Amino acid sequence: MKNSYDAIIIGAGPAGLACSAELANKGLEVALLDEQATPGGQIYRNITRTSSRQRTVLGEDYTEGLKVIENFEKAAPDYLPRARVWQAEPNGEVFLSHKKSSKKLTAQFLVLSTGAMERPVPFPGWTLPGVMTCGGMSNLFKDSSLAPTEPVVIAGSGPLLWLVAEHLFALNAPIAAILDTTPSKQYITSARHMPQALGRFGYLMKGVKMIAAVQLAAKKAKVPMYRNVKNIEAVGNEQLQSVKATCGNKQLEFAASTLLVHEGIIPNTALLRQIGCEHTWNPVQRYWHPEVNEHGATNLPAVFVAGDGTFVHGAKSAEYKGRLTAMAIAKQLHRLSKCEYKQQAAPVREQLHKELQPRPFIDALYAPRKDLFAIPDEATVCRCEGVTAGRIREIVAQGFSDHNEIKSIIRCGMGPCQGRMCGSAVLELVAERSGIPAEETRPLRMRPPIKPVSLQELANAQLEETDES
Amino acid sequence: MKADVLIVGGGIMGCATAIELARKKKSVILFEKDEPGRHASGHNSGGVRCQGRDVREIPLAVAARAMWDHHEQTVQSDCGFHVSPRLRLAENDADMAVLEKRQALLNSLGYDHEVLVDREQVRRMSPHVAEHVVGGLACYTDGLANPLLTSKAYAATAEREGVTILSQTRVIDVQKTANGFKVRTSSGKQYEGETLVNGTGAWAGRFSEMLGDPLPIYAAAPTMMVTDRVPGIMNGTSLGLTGRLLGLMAAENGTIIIGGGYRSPLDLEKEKIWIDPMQMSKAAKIMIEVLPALRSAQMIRCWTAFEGCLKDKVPIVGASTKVSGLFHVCGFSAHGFQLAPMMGRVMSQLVLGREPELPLDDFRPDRFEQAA
Ligand SMILES: Cc1cc2nc3c(=O)[nH]c(=O)nc-3n(C[C@H](O)[C@H](O)[C@H](O)COP(=O)(O)OP(=O)(O)OC[C@H]3O[C@@H](n4cnc5c(N)ncnc54)[C@H](O)[C@@H]3O)c2cc1C
Repeated sequence: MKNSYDAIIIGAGPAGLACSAELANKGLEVALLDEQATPGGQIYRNITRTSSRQRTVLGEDYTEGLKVIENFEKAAPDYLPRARVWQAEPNGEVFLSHKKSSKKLTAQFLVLSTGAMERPVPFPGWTLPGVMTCGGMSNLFKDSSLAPTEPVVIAGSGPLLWLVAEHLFALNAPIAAILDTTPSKQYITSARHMPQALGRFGYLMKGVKMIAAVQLAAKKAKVPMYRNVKNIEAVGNEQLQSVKATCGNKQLEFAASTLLVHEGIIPNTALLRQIGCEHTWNPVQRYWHPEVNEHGATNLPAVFVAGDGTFVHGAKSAEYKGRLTAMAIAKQLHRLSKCEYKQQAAPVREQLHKELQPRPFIDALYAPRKDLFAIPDEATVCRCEGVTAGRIREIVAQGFSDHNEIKSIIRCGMGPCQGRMCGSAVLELVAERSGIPAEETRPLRMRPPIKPVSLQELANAQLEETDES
Repeated sequence: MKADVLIVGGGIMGCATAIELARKKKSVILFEKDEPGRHASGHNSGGVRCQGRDVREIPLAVAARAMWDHHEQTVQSDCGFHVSPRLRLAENDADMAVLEKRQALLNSLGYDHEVLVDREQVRRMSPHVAEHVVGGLACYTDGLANPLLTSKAYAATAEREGVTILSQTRVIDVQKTANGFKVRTSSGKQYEGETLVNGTGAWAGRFSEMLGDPLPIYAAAPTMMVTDRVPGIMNGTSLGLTGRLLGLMAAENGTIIIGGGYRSPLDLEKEKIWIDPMQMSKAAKIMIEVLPALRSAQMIRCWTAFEGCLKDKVPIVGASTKVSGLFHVCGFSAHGFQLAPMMGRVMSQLVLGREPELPLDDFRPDRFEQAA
């Protein structure tokens, strides 16, 4: 590893892998940094090590990643796994922790390809052991072939819900119930995006088939499946014992030791906000995402964002976005002439556009439902500091609407995660109580370090002196 | 729109001044370019500290400290204030000599709020301090408060007392007129007033320049970090050092706020601060030497804010010597929070043309010219 590069790419998912490969192939000095032990990001997690049995269960959407890895390995940019980036600056400085020691790297360009995360949604009992997200379950399986052996309930809305259900059926996991919380009326409201989505008919059919397969498997195995479900609740003392919900005027309850929840995917903006990228609000999916152009250029001249971090578009799009970003950087560094750039970018851009055709439909169908954040007063919202929904409503009623101020006063978002887990909920609680639309409130600030660093490590950090102005 | 007094800056200084003037039946309009408490006043480290103050500030600080006990009555909030004794440590004999001299000086001036403590007493107050610490100077009455809660309580009280607070309203132009001042704001409106108070914090020099009264204030970005919860280590005592830069505040929830003079590079125009990890690394080194038990504590967040500073490290509080009717309250050099309640009092007295209850000669705006 060197200390200084043409470009540093943070995050080794499809976007980061494709971007760093493309840059290395163009002869640029690049380093790819990632927190995990192996490349692949969330979607292709652990792909260099999974067994053929795991790969069979995970299917070709997963093994697709092998090609991405192959290209990456051929291009062979510098790659540092287990590197936790805790601060990055618009001048190209990156501070990271690796093997319990922190250091600084610099680059002319930074590409933030830190991906997406599942939308954290507080509900009664969500902090009980036994409650986890569908993505979390999927990670356990990719990492160590783990699957539930005791009754498991799957609840929520979105493609990942069906995917995980499909995997669990394949693994013969004892599924106690599948609770789809997608409101029926969103099938109607999303329909107007259908014509455009049909441009990627194959992709849509894949989704339809997956859901049909899950339904069939559920029927065969006599697994209860409910649609239009509301009011999910995890019940138990020290450990999850059952899951309650309502469907129409029916009260549901299923004994279970694991509850897998999923309420969609949102960009992981922690590093983006810390470095100072400007964000805009998406009213359909209701999340903040960075303001970028097609190549991922941000308001900061040396900083690009690629992949799901710009907007959640999926793995294939992430790869295209990563490549487009690489081309834009190569052009700026004069490794591509204007003409070459045009030639090379055009087909990728076209593929990306095609890939994006079904997104408005999917985004509308799986939009967060209106009552998603109708959190009961006694439910915990900020896990780090133990702040309840009721306490937040109280402070909003006193006239506070800026999460930054709310944080300073009741500590909600003050803990080590800096509001990553409660941010979405606080935004919606503020909107609910004050009537101030989310997009008109000041986004929550993210301060370095975005990941905790021990004082000993900080004290020993190899950071050369920076000039103080 | 007209008022007796126009106040620029919705930090704690502007709001404290506004409250006192409104209580003395003056009409007040206060302009704040962002929100009250957005800058230093809402984002300082909450140290309510008399200890280690420049002797020129001590009378004000002692008077202010008494007022911190009565916020429930004066601003209808306890401001999150609680006592956390502050202990300034001597790491060697030379440090101890400095502290002894300091106590002797304070005693000769008639103050007894800083008390010398020996090796054993230090360990009773703060059981985890390193072996090499030989003694200290304690201030048992110092404490901590919640800065944003305090700033908001001040702003809310000002409004209750009838002050018009215009948030998101920047004063972009100000002119001296025959009978006072005329200001123009970013919302395109004009306001008139007889007197004008400059409480613009880090922007105070710039603001005052508009009236042809430049002040030698510069902006700095004191930078702090906070740890995860490490209950039991600080024992409720906040710490400072004598020969090196470090301040450690023992927050009630078990986290530790670390600062004491570290600064980050900034751009005041663009309102950007780049938190400098090198500074935090330096602080961490010293911290581990002083409290080895904190080695494995985690730094979970840094923060910073703009502060107006002066090279002699005490503020400018008083009437402009160049523009009649203009009053400054600025340049608190990273320790104004504690003084705020008292600043409201003396500023209102100045504005009303009365003799301030404590002398302010040391804080004259023209003191630098006199020295030159
Ligand atoms: C990180 C940090 C830690 C600190 N720790 C402590 C501590 O522990 N103890 C202590 O006693 N002190 C501390 N201080 C110092 C203390 O916070 C300040 O001295 C005090 O808050 C200053 O108050 P102010 O009202 O003058 O400034 P500010 O709070 O900065 O208010 C000035 C206001 O003026 C507004 N403004 C500027 N220009 C214009 C314009 N043209 N039009 C309209 N509005 C304008 C600004 O937006 C700002 O809100 C600390 C400071 C910092 C930054």
